[in-house]
Amino acid sequence: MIQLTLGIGQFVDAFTIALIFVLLNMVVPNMFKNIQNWIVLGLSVIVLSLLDDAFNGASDILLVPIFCGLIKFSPSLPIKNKLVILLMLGIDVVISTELTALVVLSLGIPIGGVEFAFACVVLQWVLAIGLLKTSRRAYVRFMNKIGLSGVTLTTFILMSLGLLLLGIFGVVLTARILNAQTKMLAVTLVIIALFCVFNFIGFALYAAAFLKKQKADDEIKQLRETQVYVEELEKKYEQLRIFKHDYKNMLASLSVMSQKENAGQLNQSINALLEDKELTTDTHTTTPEQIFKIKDALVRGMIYRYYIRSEKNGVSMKVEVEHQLEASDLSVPITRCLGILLNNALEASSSLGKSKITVSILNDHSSTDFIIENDVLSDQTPDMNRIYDSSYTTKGAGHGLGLASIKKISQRYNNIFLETKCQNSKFTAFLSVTEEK
Amino acid sequence: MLNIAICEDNREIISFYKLIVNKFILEHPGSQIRLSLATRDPYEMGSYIEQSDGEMSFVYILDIEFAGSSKKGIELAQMASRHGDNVKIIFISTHEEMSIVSFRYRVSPLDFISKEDGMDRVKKILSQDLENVLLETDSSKKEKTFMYSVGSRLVKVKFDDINFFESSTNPHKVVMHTKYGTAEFRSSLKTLAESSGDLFRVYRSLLINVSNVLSIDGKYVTFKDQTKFELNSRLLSRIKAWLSS
Repeated sequence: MIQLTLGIGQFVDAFTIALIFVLLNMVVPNMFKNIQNWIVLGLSVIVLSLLDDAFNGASDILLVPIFCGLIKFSPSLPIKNKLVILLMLGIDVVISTELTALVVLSLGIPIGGVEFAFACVVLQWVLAIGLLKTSRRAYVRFMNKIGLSGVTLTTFILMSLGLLLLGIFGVVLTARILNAQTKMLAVTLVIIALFCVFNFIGFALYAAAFLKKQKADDEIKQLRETQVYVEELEKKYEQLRIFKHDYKNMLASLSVMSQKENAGQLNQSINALLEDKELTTDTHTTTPEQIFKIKDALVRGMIYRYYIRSEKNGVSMKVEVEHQLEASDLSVPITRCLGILLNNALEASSSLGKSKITVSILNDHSSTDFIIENDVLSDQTPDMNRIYDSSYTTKGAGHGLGLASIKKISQRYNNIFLETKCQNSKFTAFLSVTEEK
Repeated sequence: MLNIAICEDNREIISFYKLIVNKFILEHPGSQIRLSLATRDPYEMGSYIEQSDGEMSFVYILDIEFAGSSKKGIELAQMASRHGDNVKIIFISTHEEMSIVSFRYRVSPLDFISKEDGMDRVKKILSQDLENVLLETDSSKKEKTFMYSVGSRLVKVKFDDINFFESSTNPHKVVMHTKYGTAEFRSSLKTLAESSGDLFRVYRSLLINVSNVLSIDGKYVTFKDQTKFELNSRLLSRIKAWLSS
């Protein structure tokens, strides 16, 4: 925007480019431990500042490929994040440069002298580094205050900011090429910067509200499930009460009968009573008391949810827990896997009519096994070598992603093992969690 | 030679089992059967298992709980299963739903007989079980088994059911593909390849059971259960060369 004399212009330009790399080192530490980075940085400072002299604005465009390709930092970082980082640093430098220009010009230092160059460089560096540090701290504090965190959200906010910054860059470049007035540019910059800030605050508040709503929804859902559970208990209690009542009646009639000393009839009645369905059915396996042995709330919740769901679908589910199951640091992946396996078992069983799902949890000092068994029709046996493919399903489009994601989980953890087999019209899934690391 | 070993802490019950076994031996004079141990002390049984010859066939008749001893029937069974290929386990104990489930998956016993069903029934089922074991050991073709464990769960599969092993993206695990499904466990293809001559490492991440290969044609290896596995022609010719050598 201000045409400087040859040597001074390059001097200021070179320091501006070097500044970007210094700022990058603040964001991504250890960048200067790599020799290649040093070479790329050195060369690009010299070459870009010379190029800038010949073609105004060339460095701004060339920085992008250098940044994304040549400099080695955080290899796992997606390119979009690198671009966002570059844009953030870029806008930091641009803002500080423009401010510097305004300050230096208003101080009345003669343009083009050595004094001018030094004043520019020092002020620009101080402003840029200060701005980056304060804005970073402010960002973290703001996010903490509204109770937000999470990599995805941060990336999203940065991306939306990045888009706006791209606009600013466009304006800056246009201004440079058209040799527009410094003041006009400064005003535009301030307006855009304000716009950015408000946009950011608005978005963050919206996201916070959204997340809170979701949390509340989850809680409501959980409450509803507890409600179902309580109702279930009440129902069982009612059954027991009726049974007790009937039983007392029958005992009373027996005692009447015994007074009449009709031994044959008495015997008959006692036998009939002993064979009563209410007495002989094994209540132990049809009620979920075993579930209380699971102390891990996540796992228990998931199993209980499917217990209720299978009852609704007319599938009987049996839960057996060997010893108390305590919560572990793998509760989340285990629960995810169980959800998928139980869902598959229930979907397979519901179509069969009268069928049974057995969930056994065996645990001892060295491992915990979750074993889920369900019936399958012999002619509907899935292709066991393909069930883990993400596209494979016996249930039509939209299903079948389950086992593929379990496989991913078991691959990620060294001590979660998965086994599935289909033999004698039974599908069995074993999810084993071992103690070894 | 079929060795039968009994461990039961009740004096009357153990002599009852001994009677059944001895009667069984008398009824099968043509077969080599021996009642090699009948003890009330689970630790004696433990040391017997440790010293037993892994090449021979064993039937262990075990109780689950032993009065006054911390050693449990399941520990003995796990020890025995790990100790030899031709080991059959019969539990005779009081009926507890949970123990049947847990024992079924941990040691896959031959049978689980409930004492509550009455001693006549125990006698009948036990004799039947022994009969079955004898039939299997006498048949000339012994079935090769493959054994792996995940935590405390010990699994034996018929070697003939295995199609291939592949490496998992997790470096500590391998995935076994059988006729009936897949299983992950902790091992490496290198160790597995060394364990049996029938396993051929086609390339870095695939180990196939060549004794189970039905045909090689076109682009596929076909196993005996009609499972097909696609490979490139260079690897297919490697398998062919290995099969013909």
